[in-house]
Amino acid sequence: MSWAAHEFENYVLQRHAKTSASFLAIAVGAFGPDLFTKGLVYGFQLGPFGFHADDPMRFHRAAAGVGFTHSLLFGVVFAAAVLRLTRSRPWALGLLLGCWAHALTDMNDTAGSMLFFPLSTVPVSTGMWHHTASLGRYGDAASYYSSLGGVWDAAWMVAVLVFARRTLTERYFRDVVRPTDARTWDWIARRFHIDERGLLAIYRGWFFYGACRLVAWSAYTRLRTDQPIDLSWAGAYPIGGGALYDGTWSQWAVRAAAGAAATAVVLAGSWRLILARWWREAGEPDAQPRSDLAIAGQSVTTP
Amino acid sequence: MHPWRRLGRVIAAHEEGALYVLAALVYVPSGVLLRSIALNWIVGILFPLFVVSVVPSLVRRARGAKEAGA
Repeated sequence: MSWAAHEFENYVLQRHAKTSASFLAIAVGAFGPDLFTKGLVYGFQLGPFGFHADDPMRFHRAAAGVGFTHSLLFGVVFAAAVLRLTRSRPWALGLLLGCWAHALTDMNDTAGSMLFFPLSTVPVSTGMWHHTASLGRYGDAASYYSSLGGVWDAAWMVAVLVFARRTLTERYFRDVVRPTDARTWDWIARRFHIDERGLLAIYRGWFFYGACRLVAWSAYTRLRTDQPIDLSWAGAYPIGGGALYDGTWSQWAVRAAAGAAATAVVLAGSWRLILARWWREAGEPDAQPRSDLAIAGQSVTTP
Repeated sequence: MHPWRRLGRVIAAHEEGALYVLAALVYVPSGVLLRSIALNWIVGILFPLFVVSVVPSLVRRARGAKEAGA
């Protein structure tokens, strides 16, 4: 699984989506696949009771567990349901982008993501680092930040700072992010009495959290564990790590190609039969002028 | 000018940026020591809100009340 990359990729997606997708929806979508399952993957204690998956990797990524959350169709179903309920295009598109980014990023560990579930259960994996959730949260962190996973996170942080640094500015937040999802940001401002500076801090919070946890977990790994750094492909951490697929390459290629083709057909068919109509009915996003975005107790100046 | 006073002026001129740096300087060591308590997405994402917005507004309000009382 990926760690801080899930926070950084939100800003790169936002940079490209601009006003067509809500940043908050991208962020929720990026959490979506793990939102209700990560606790059981690592295990947690509630008073005298302990809860954990017997086989964290299979529970997290296989068809027998909640691996469906890391598929392309999961993102489509999630986004379509939100589109139908809220009629918000920016939220539907944001959720779709976030879910897909999460699934695609997570396919870099040895467990991989069942991208084409339920049409194919074959996991797609580059095997760049080991899926070591069975070591628990701290063991997984030590393994991840001693392998190419840490490099992957750092690369995403650099990508934000080099290619999407404008998305972190106050002006970008004021002119692009907030107007795209004005209702939600205004609701947050009103409900929790947060001023413009606070909303900007929340928006930047994902980058802050990603950067700080990259540094903190790397420091923890170096200072408080004896995990050696291994930047070879997959790293040398077979303990607790592993892969979900043990067939031959050619079998995998056939099943993956069939799954990809079937998924493409289902996506195209769903769009033509249902989703395009829902998209049209949702209408254009509210083009709310900046002057209408003033919230209680504060004024917003039009640039 | 005394270096500390100069530093104070620089920080005052870039208050918001300085508060983000302060937030990171507090959060990263807390994360290393407390791990799961600090390094989770709720605390992590909302921490800058508290350091950059909530705490300064509470300080300003307390100062205002003190000056009004005096």
